[in-house]
Amino acid sequence: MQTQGIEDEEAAITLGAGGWQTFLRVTLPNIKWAVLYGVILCNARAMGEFGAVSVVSGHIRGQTNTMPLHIENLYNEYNSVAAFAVASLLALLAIVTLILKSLVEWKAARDRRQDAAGTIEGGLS
Amino acid sequence: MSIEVANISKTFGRFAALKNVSLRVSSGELVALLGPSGSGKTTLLRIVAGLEMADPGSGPVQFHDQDVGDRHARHRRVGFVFQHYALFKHMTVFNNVAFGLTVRPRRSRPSRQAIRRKVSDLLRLVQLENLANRYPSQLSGGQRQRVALARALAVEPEVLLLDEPFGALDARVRQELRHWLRRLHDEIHVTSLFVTHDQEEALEVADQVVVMNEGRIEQVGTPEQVFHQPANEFVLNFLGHVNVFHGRVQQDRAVFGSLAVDMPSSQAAEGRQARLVVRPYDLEVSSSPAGADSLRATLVRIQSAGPIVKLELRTEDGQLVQVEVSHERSKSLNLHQDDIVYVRPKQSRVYVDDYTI
Repeated sequence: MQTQGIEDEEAAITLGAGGWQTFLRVTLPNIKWAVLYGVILCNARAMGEFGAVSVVSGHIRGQTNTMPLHIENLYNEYNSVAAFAVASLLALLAIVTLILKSLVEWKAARDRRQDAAGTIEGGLS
Repeated sequence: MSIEVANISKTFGRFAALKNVSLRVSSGELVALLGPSGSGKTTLLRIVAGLEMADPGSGPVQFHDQDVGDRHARHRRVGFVFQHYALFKHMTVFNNVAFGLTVRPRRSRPSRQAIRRKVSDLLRLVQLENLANRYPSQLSGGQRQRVALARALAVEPEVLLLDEPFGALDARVRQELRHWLRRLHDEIHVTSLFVTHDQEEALEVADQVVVMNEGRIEQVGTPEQVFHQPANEFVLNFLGHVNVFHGRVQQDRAVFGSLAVDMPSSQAAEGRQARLVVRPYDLEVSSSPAGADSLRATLVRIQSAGPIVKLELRTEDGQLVQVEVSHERSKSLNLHQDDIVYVRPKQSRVYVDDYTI
């Protein structure tokens, strides 16, 4: 956001847009891929959290538990079928996250490429 | 709608960008703020737009004799055009231009049809009516800047402010666009203030030129006034290329090598450093010494491709001097490289520290 500068927002304000309108119609579209990417990575990080939850909030089942901790609990109870089922689910979610992340990366790169191509073309003509 | 600012100062940290600047722009005029980078011209423009606040203690910013100093940029009704266009790149040209109308509160927002009509009128005005569905990245630089201008005009601004509008364009497009801007201004007559560091652009387009330097206004005048009657050495220096000769004041004369200029009643300035400033076309070249007041020089380079012939001379004390003569004059002198010629200023100005004639 810092490298993008505030010119777009200033332009919106001189055109009479308020703070929210500027954010929703100008700032957010400019940063949407970055925000989405951040959300996906953050989500992946939260799903896989093990150590911090285990130490700080003690993995109480149904209250302060995450999937990896749940797998540990199940495994310790010799319920390996359930443990492996949840583990498979976690692996599946990881794959979905990976696909989403690649998709966002690809979209963002395409947008950037278009901008760059436009700039070069604009510079020449 | 006139613009008036009085005693505006602005400091960024310890850097004083503007020092007590006052300026009045009459209604309907196209005024250029001209100066080198760091002279405070963009800061002044941004203060007028309300994007920057003047230091406390500064005078008011007035539009049409109304103080708008405490009005937020959003409510000042200014059209602002940025050097790098600042177009919304995720919107089409149409939506960019319509933006200022669609963000209005519902009760003052024009109907969909009215917006459509207004936008297509504006796109016709900037000659882009068939590009309404393109995205900014699919336009050339000149087209983008015209979209930015249409977008600024859509909100029917009381004043139009342009920050180096042609700065990012190449030379030919820039020339076309500034002629176009002049015609457009003659058509719509909105009070306009534009910032530029290109003196040619300012002189060619503006009704009034404001020359700025180091946070101060050096001179305000028509292009003719600032060009022919520069208020001081800075203005003369900044408006086009000049030759500067260094010398000293001796007995009522400023002496620059074998050149001397009379300086009546200059006793007070005796012995001081003097500078003789001459524009390249105000120097006369001849093949024989014409009177005592001429400098002997060697012709280093002749550049005759263009409307005038540019000569580069080296004086005996090694200074390079640029001279411009007509093709006829150049032919009649039959000049060749390494010739010895004599130059004499037809018109010049002498500046002595704290003293001017």
